[in-house]
Amino acid sequence: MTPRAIVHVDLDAFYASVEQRDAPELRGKPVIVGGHPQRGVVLAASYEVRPFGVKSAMPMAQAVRRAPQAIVVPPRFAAYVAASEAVFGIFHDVTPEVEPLSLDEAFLDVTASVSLFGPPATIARQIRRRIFDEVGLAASAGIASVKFVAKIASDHAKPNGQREVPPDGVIAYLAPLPVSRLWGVGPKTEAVLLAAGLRTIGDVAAVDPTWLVRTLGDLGRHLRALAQGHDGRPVVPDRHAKSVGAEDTFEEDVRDPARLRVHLHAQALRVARRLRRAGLFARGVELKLKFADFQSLSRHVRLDPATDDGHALFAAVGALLAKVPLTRAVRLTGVSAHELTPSAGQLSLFDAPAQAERRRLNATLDDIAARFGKAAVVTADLVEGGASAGHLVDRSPFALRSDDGRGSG
Amino acid sequence: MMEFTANKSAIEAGLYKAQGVVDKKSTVNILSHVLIESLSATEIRFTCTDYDVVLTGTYPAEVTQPGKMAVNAKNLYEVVRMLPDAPVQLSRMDNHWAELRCGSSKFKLMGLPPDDFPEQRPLEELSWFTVSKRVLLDLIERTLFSVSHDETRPSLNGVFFRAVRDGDDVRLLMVSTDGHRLSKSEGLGSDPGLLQGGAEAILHHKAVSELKRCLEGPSTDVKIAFHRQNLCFLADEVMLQVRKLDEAFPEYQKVIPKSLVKGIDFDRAELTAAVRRIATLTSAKTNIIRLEIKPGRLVLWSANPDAGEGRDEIAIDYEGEELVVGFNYKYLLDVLGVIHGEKIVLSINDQYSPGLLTSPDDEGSLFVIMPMRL
Repeated sequence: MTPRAIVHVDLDAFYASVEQRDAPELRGKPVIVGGHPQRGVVLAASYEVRPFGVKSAMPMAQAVRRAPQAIVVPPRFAAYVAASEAVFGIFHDVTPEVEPLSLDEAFLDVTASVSLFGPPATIARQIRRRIFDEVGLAASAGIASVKFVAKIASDHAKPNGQREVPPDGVIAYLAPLPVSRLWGVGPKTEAVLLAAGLRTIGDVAAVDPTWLVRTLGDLGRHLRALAQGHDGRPVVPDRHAKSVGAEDTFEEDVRDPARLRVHLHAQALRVARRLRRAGLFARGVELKLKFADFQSLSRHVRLDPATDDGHALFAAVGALLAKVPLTRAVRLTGVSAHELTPSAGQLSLFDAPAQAERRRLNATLDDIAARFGKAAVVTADLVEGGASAGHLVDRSPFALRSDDGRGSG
Repeated sequence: MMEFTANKSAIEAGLYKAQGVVDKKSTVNILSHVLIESLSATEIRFTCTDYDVVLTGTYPAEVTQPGKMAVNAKNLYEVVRMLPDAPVQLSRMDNHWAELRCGSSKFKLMGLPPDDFPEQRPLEELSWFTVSKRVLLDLIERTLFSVSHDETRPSLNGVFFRAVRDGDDVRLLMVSTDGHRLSKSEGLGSDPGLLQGGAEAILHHKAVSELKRCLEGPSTDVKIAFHRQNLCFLADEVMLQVRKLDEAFPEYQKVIPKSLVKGIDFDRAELTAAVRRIATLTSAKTNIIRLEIKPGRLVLWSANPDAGEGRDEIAIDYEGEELVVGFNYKYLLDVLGVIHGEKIVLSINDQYSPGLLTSPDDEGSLFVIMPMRL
């Protein structure tokens, strides 16, 4: 197999950067995006505030103690989604092989784009320049032949930089990194490795593989492969995905069903837009709720006809939500489309004129969004909800299902 | 107590028709039982019900002890159908079980107290009209297939019936739709009796399937009566009383396209064969096939990302503009399988609007199919 050229693009301090872009008085200042100063958590921290030890997901009270001079701004959900839309539009100009990880992060397989646009590093530079020129945000990029190395490289390139790891330099590049950088190593596995004297990825690559497998089973085999620079996971664009979903963790737990509905509406519209971009229709949709006690619940319903319309998705998950007894506060909602099919499906006899209307409306909205950004037209509940209720938390960087994740095919 | 002797074939026929109505899953539920009552010294009646449908059948018998009993209908049927063609004696035992004797065979079958059986209120005088079984079966065949089985859409779970007096005739109309397609078929009945103007009902598809079963019998006609919340059918020795669905049937006239631009003539056998061939490669998820309607020819096309693609072509009588439209091939085959005549006309405006299938040899019927988006 020819080596792949994979680019991982990640926007720098995404929410904070959007705030600094839109409010010149915040530029160059320590900015924290977060909600309630006592109960909330940090959603994003600008680079100016990071030297004080302020990080994403840290309790706001602690962050404000560490950096009392920081300017705290409430999140603006709609603005982040609009910026994300514009950035993904740029990705899709380069290649259809885009695997979204979240609003501000994606893998691109540019192997086939090299003959058109030049070497991978040049492509990455062009993408970052366009993001800066057209969206006004800084992005970092990692370039490698496998996904997980590209991901680490973009992290090393931050802020506003890029780093390429050539195929023959992967092992040397990984060797000095701590074992915690390996995909799949959590605190527990890390402790096992450290106890065995394995501190770096190079240590893992050099250790007797039978020991790894004996100690960690399949994970051991997987870690050895990663440590030697092997990562077989392909970039999976939405059109090959088994499901397409959007999830948001709230900065404060939500009890009010009306507020939950606003989130679900926004998520349904995001999912539908991605379905349309991938030319897919969903025959099923799932509602996911995670409660304050971290218990999860999911409810699924079949859609007939299959749809790529956000309002149809929202109607379905809204009905599912209505049937869930909300006895506990909710910390996360998710909407995901399942049973994806490339052909639209069956048109309905009884609402044919309404369907034709929606089809035209969606095409028009997609066109407006492509030209002016998604915030150009939003539904009324999102304008209200976007200003106050759209609190998103940055996900862990290597979450298998992050903000806008999906199952691979 | 009760005891009677009857012909094996009569009991078997009555129990066969009961099988569609009774609850076969439960053996203790009274609704899984058939109620057997003596009407006179020479007549017995079988009754079974699932509340929505009541089936009664009257059969000749030699009643030696009048009374009634309730026996599990499935067990009794399974036993009776294996018996030799000889007189069958059934008697109720003290524990409500039934004892069955036939030739050298003897069975004891579980039963329940007959008074547990839901009480059947006697129907008032009914006003019957008559339809030939052939006509009714034709109407059922051409509508039952397009009923919705999605129980979340109860108004589409049934076949719509309408009977209208037309002089000395009765025009009987049946319509069904699952929201994607619609079938409408009309036939003629006679002897309108007291039927005035028109009467309507929606019957659940399960009840219509049971009706079909009840039409298997020697007589040529079936009598039909509207009665309050029920529609009643009388054929041979069996009466089927079906509760109407308490739903509003969609305004089906509105979705039957009126002014259609393109009319394309097909040979039914040729189109059926081409659709079947092309359908082998369609995606099982969508069942979609693409029809490219061009002057003089129809190109059929299907593809499945996991299997490949196929293309076929047939000559058609068409001179208009080119049109590309997607259809669920099953919907097409369903119609091609039931429509009468060898010449079929597809009328359609565009790829988003309903297509209409008709045949000059089947004037009382029309079939509407919504396309699939391509």
